[in-house]
Amino acid sequence: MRARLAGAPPWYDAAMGVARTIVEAAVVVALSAGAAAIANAVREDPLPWVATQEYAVHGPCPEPAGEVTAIRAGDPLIRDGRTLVIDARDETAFREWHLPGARRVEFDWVSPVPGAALADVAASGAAAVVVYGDGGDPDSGRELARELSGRGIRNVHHVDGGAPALRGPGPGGAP
Amino acid sequence: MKRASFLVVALLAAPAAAEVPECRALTGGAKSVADHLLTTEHPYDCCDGTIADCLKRSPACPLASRLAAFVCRRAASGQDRDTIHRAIERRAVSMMPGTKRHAFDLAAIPSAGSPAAKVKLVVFLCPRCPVCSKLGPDLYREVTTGRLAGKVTLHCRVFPVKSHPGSAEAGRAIAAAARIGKFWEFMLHAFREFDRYSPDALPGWAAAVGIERAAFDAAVADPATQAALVEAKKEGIRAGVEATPALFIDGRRWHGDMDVETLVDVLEEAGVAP
Repeated sequence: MRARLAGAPPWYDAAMGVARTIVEAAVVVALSAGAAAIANAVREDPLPWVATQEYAVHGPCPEPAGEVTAIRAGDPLIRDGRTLVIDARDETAFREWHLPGARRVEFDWVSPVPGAALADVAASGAAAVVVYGDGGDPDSGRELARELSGRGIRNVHHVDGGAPALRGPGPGGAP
Repeated sequence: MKRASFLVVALLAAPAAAEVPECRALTGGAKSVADHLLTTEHPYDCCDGTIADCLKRSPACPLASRLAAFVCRRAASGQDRDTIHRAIERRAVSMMPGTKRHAFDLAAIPSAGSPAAKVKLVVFLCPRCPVCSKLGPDLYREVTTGRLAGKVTLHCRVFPVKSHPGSAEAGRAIAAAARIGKFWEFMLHAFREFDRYSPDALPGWAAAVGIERAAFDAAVADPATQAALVEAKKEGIRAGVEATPALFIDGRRWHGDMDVETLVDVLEEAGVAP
């Protein structure tokens, strides 16, 4: 512990401590920069000190799509009481037939799922989310599931073959 | 030792690479990066040796010259070995004979450039994607008046990306303009005005390209316009598009860099392929 200078004001020690820290930081920065410059100089292809080309963005713009799992129409997860089942089809198709207990969140191919619908799904407290759609190519159920997953909903699945697969053989169902 | 190995690499690569204008101008670190790659990387078609070996053969493998220019252009721009190596790999994955081809109904897609051109390029663009706003007009210029004129037909599909606010409205406006026969005029104008976008600006943009307000409003409101937009997006999803811009060269997905120099190069390559 260094003795305080005779007659120094009470803040002297604190000020000296701050000054020492700044000097030490400056020395570390200078040494690091020097080491980086030397490392760059011995590279086979040294990085330029000044950018010679205009910065350009070449990255693609992704859809908000996440990972989902395909399940079969007979999967027990669909009937599990802790699962939220979502019908991605339009109102007409939903009225004609839907899985008992299914909630309708119509999939829009070009506009995002409305925030309120997304909040409802998030607030459902379901352990898993299963989405089924029209079973087309591409399948609206799979696409909605991917969007829900991409926007933060966890444990999302889609029914392979969609509503026709769930209805089984017969009118409106799988062939 | 390391210096000596560079010297050997340079001596092996230099004579052949000197025939390629992009390589002739290289010096220092960029030259050593290019020389190393030219003596270690192999063309994915037409010749079995390294790029440098293939350049020396007579007649020279045209792909070797293209790849040498590709490597040297990148080295000159400051890219390192690994970055260029990955770019070559992505190019190979996209261009190798036998890569899966997607079938598009080209007659249904708005096109630019000569309809008789050998190479068909299908692009999926989002009207609110910043990269698309640069690449779309660049490709249009190349196929209509630039280096790809007469060689490539550009087919453009609108693919509104949901993470871009306004993409659905702008996409519908472009689909409406397409139904009126003003697809490219409107699309290019929308990209020029990219930073001034608002839904309220769309009728003004239509007027700027010669579309009457009543006709534009009617086309936007027509359910068939929305159906056309949805069909374009579904077609992209079927082909595996998950981001824009997405390009298909003669039906093969392009996985490489999206800068116009690279694309002109690979499209010319596709044009001379047997």
